[in-house]
Amino acid sequence: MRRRTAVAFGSVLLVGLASLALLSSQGDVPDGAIVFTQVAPGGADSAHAAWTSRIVMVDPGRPDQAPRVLTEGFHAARHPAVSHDGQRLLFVGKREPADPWQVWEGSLTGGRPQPVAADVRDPHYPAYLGDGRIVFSARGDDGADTMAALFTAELDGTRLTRITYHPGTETAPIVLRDGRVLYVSRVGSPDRTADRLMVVRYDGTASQLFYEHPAAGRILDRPRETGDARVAFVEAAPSGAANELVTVSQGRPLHSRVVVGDALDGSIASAYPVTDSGFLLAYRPVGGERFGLYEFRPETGELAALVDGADGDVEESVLVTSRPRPKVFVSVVDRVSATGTLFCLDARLTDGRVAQGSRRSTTLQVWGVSGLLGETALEADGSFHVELAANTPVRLATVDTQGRVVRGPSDWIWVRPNEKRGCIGCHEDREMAPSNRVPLATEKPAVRIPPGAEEGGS
Amino acid sequence: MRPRWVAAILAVTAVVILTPGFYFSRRHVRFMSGDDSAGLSCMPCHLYLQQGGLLARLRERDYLSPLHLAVSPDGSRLYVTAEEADALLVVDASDGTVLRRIAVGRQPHSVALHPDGRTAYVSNRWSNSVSVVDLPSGSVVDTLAVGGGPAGLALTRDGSLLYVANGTSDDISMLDLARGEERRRLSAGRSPQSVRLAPDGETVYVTSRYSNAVPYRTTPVTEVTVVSVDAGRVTRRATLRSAHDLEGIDFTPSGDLAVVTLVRPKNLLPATQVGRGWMLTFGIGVIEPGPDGRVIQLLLDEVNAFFADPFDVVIGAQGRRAFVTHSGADVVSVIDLEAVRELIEATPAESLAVYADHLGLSARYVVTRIPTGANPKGLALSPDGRRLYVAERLEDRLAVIDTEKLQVVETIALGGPRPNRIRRGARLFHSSDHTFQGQFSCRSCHPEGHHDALTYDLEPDGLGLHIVNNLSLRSLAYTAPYKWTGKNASLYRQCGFRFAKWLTRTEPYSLDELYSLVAYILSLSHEPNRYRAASGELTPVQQRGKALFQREWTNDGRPIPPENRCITCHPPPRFTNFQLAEVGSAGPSDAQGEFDTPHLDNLYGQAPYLHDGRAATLEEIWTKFGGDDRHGVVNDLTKAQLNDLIEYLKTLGGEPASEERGGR
Amino acid sequence: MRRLRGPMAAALLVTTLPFIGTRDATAQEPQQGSVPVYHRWQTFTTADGLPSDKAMAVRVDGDRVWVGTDRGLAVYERGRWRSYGTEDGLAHDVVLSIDVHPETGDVWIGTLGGLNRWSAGRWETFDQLNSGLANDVVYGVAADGDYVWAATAAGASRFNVLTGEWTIFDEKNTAMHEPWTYGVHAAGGMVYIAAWGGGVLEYEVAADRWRDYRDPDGEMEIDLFPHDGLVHDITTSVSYENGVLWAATYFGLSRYDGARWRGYFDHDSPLSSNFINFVRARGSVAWICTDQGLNAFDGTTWVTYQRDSLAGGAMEIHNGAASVRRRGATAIAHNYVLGVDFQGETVWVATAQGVSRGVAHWESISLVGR
Repeated sequence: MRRRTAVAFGSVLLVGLASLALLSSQGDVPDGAIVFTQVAPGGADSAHAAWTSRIVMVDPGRPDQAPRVLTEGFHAARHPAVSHDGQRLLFVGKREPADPWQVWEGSLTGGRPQPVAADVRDPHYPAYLGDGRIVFSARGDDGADTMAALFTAELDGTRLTRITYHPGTETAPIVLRDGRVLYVSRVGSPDRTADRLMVVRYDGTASQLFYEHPAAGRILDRPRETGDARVAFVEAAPSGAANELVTVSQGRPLHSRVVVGDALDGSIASAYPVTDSGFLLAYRPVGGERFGLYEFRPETGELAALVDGADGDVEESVLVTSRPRPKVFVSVVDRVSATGTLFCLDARLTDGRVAQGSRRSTTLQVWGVSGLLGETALEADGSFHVELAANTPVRLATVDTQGRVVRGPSDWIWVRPNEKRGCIGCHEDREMAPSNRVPLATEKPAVRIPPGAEEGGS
Repeated sequence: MRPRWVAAILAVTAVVILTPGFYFSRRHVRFMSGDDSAGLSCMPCHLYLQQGGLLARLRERDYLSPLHLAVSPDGSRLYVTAEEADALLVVDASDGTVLRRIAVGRQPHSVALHPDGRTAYVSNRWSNSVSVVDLPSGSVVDTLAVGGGPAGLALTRDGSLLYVANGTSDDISMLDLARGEERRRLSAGRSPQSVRLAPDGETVYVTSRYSNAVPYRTTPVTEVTVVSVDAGRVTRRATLRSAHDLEGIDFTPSGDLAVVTLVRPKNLLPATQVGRGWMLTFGIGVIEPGPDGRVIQLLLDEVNAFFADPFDVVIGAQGRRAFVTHSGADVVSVIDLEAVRELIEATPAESLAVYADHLGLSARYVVTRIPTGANPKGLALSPDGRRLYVAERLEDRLAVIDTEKLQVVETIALGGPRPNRIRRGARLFHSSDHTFQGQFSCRSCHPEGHHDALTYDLEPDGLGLHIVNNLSLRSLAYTAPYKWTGKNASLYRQCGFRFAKWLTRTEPYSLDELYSLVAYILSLSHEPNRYRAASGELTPVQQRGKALFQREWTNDGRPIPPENRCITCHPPPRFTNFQLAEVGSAGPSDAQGEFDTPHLDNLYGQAPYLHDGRAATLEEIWTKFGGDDRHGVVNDLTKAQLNDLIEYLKTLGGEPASEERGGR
Repeated sequence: MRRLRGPMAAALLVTTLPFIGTRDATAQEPQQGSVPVYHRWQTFTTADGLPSDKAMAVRVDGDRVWVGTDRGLAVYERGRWRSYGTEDGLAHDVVLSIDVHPETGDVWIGTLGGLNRWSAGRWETFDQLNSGLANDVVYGVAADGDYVWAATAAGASRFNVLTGEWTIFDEKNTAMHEPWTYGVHAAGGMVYIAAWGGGVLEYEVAADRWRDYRDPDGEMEIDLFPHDGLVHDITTSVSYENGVLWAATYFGLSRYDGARWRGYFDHDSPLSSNFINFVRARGSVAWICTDQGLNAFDGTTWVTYQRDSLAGGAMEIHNGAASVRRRGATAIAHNYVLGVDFQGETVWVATAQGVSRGVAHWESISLVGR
């Protein structure tokens, strides 16, 4: 009896182990494979082709293996993102030409991708957050808004949350290792043609400028985080000159711009860092017709073709590898609240000092999209503390006793429900940490602007 | 084990797991941990963490925790203080062999070598003494009494005098080594830490951990105390505004600059965010010698990365580079001092003041960051300057950095045991990895598990409201609830989800990490109480104070209601009744008047006092804020009686201090 | 240095002091038994940088001279005055007393609002609310060894700088008649406290032993029996040097050499006034600050300094019947003298109308017998 039990137990154990081994071998995605987007000859607008864009995986370590199309059956598929464990794939696609764009998720090992049924228009650039949700750009949820904003959602499309409220276009997000979302901000105003990189916590709080440069033009594709704490991206120069592969150090992104693709004469469409110094490029050599996939080593200028453009232009690429999961955090956003607060240590500060001219500032004005929302007096130390309607873009300006603008208007900013946001000054040096003193304004309740705004949950 | 017992244990387990007891138990775990997804887990709290319990004792291990080190003049030997092993380790620098383990006093901190290379002096923080070690024989030949909590040491050039920073008595002992006694005691900054002799041999610089006394809720100001060796007097107090936690110091070989490590806290700002240095920033102070020398602060952080808890600094023989350990970020920063000199020469004073908060500048003078093992602390250079030794405290290991290649080329394992739960908790506690962008570690505000003597404006209560006095984490076991409001039933709650939401602003600790972290915090205890005689007997003054603490009648014979007696809310052994109490201590920023009754262990070293830190001294608790007789009846006390009471309060908690020879 | 040789001498050399400006740093100190003579005075007032002319106390620490005024503290160093007020950390603008710890150099300052420690530029305040100090009115302060003593309006306080312990000595634990203490002197393990109405208290630190010296006749108006002990119980200042205790009262001066008490009054000695604000001994010489001028006295010889006109003043030397009087173009700033201290050969005097610095003179002076 005892012996029979032992045999039975042993058999069950063996079968179990064997199944486990089988399962794990099935789930094995080659580390170092590359996922990239191919745009069909004729372009993405070719509505009658079997596909206009698709996502393909190749394994440079196995040149004998044919590239595998991961979006079989899709009319169009773009903007791939690979999960941190290197097993899953996010992309936007449409099965039929007439379908709306939608976010899909699938396994890199095979199987049918599943739609992420978020109720948004034109979703693009999905990316995995550290907490298992996704972030992507899409057109606003308020109907009138035609610009793109960033949203987060569960993989089943629920808990859809808009997290950026800039009146311009907010797109091409990636998730940094520290958990924040880095994205491209584009304003179609005549006074600014350059794109900027912004960074925001994924609950939409603490949005701030990450990178801007007077020589920059549009930022093509997504920015990417390198292994050595830089951010790489491709900039189209405003003059129409060749695109440039640019890196900035996360240590001081506003003042560390380096063009790393100087040796390249052709055209770069996108870049993905593969080592501390190497990149996968969607690149078209001088005289070439199509964008292929290349590996580029800036320190040697070495450029090696991995995939040519014969089957279609390579648009963007992603290295398949497991990476540390981005950090997650606990949000302070409280959906019950309709307001958030903003306090400033000294609205008169410029580059760490109170400039002579700024001493005239006596009042803070808060401007909304449609006009002046309200104003409040600055405290003697230049501080202010206001309660604002949440999820609403505002601009700030300081004025003197005559109502003349001293500084401003600022960039558009917003607060999320229950966010208590602090800033150093209105035109602060963005590399400054705050000085340590009690701001007079925070010793008092926040001033509501506009005066009728609903009370916050704080 | 008898079958009956086995059956009983199985039965209890079955009851817990299979019946509603399971749900109750799980709910209990979730409540205590503050984690609504926590599974049922009894062991971490009820077995591992019971201080002094069987399992805790079984799990206690003999860690070394190398803290500071010195290199012999010929470079062949390393002398390493092993903080948790109460020993000085002698290590062969050529092959990393631990040649000798010399028992010294408790919690050794620093080691200084006599110029003749035959004698080492080791400061023993918990013994209030300096061990004199004869190196050839490897024996302690004398033990010299100094002030409280001796930390850094420095010998004069001729080896006749030893200066000792007394970290808990806030003074500097000047020891006459020929006579083997303390010649003089000088007033230092608060909690002095490191001591260095200037290259000209004429002055000794001493760093401080805490701010000097400043008015309530104003910018901390921390000093580097400069002592003239000839005069034996303090001749300068170089103050660093808005900075504290000055741990390490070194000089350039020419003596044109002294470099100290520093932390710039933002305790006066509402703690609504951590990014961009809104909680803390970390850097160096550059001090020019002479009475009017400038004191300049520069950050070692970057805009999106912070390098927490700088601890020690050494400057290379050419004076070109400084090396700084960041004990929370587990890196060594390499600083180009030429770039620092250029920067401070080319910059007007007004701009230099602004630079103290500038996160972008480090790119100009930080050459690289060299990753190390957990909790890098003390540094020492080989005599030829080519090897930099780093004490990796929570690895029980030394790292060897090649100062040309700027990378770790070797590690020297000192022989500590494998990390247990408490040790893993220690690593979590000291690592900034669990705060957004590495902004701070638990240690940043609780050095050595203690406090930072600052008050904070935390966000959850609203801006400018409920200012809180940051408390020591030592001797917290069995003192729940936690927080001044008594909101948290356990430290798991205190350090869990809400902590991540409102303070670290990044991932909460996993449940396993939380258990380890709490295990570590609960293992912390205060230093021996230097106000208690080794015999345990109270002095007449302390006895009079004790009588007042326990009194039931006023001086004029009126009965004191039980709720207004000291002893009612602060009964032994922990001197707390674990209850909330309203004692009229609410301040202008408080919406409530009830606060958790704190325990009173080692109260003498925990200023400021009260929940919001308004009382700068123990006296002020009653002279300024106890006027309504609710926080104990005190209005009938004479000033002399209040003095007696305070002398008694200082004796509470901690084990008695041991007696050392030669005390003054 | 020759000693004075009795009252019958027709002509005596009083003192031969090296003039500090012409001698090297090793110039000898005034010797015991000699009374230095000063007749060149330089006066400092607000015009020179003092915060107020009313100087309440003066204390020398090496090259620094600390002066307490009714409007703050001043320090004279390298030919310049610098002032400190409450904005700098001074506990109160009215500074009553100053002492410098001989080893650490920490400056302890008694004010009407508590006790300050100035240590290499750092200010700390100890008052009756934030510390164990008995009272904020600190008339006298003395720092010696591990202790700082403060004579306050509510008893004497002792602060142990090593442990932070405060101890109060008042009528409850000493023989103090009333807990109003005016002056304190601490040196060499002995502490003397001048207690208003309570005579002088002596404390031996090592033995933790108190004794008190009182006026044996207890008379408030007269000293009934000469030289029977302290001249009066209302003591204002006390100094102990070379085994001699000097006690100042508002009713005369007492000298006690451990065996014999002597009393001195304005009617039977050259003492300028019985109303004595302060006394400080140096070597065998006591410097007595009265409301009518400054006296220096070694038990035998008196030297008196008084201002008698805007133009200058007089210096008188008395030895028994022999005396000499000289007028000088300079004099102490005012006859209401509140403090005195010494910087090498130089004497500093705090008066109601400025601080005076007297430079020792190198000459022999002949006294003429009466």
